[in-house]
Amino acid sequence: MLLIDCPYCGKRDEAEFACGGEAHIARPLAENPISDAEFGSYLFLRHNPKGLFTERWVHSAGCRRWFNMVRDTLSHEIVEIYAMGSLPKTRRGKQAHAANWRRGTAAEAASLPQAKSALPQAKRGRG
Amino acid sequence: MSNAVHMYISQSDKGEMVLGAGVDKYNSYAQRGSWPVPEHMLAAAVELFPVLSRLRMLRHWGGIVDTCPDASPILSKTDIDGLYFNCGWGTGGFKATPGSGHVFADLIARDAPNRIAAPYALKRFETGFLIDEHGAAGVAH
Repeated sequence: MLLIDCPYCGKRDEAEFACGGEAHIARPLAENPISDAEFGSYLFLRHNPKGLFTERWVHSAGCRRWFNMVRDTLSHEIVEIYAMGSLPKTRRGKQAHAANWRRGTAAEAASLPQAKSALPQAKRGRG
Repeated sequence: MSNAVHMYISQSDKGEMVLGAGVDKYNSYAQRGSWPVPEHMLAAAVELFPVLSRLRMLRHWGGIVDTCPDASPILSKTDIDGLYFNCGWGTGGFKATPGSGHVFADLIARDAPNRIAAPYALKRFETGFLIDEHGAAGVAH
């Protein structure tokens, strides 16, 4: 049984929450073409570490708000809870985020807007 | 097996009732099961057969289930020669073990999937040809 410290409601029983799986999966942008296999890694493949894991939770029977969590999948220790749209701040949380195989994938690189210098000349001159 | 209350039950040769149900709602390697899971299972069992409320718990067991995004297994060659996958059986592996072993042996012997194994290839997570059996049945088993 987890006792989860909702950033908006305080400590509540695990039964009030739903887990949304791996956090920090960014959708590749349409402007960055990638292969089907690379898009498949974004859509279907998930990190599944034995140890520290960054994941999303929602307080579905409470405030219904989402947040991120760094949790140990073996001991169930909750290391850090932090806001959606932000990255972990603790040393162990940062390590967990960096250790994810997704960090080096083409799909994640394609989730960032292209650098302006990389755009074709014609596009840059428009408007 | 009850689809309505989500649990299954059978009686062993010794007379004990064997019950099972779902999985934790989060990734875990703890192999103990979080309390809400057995609580939900026992509530469902008592709803199905109220007399079961008088039984004593003898022992309980929690393991690890490997599941895929489409809740179907992977029976597949891989990009590495000589490496084959037979995994992702989720909660259905016990019943399918003899059948999957037969098909898997055929896959290894011929180094090619037969008609039964072909749709379960790892490649389906690139092509998008997922297997919709789970959605069609709407149950865990």
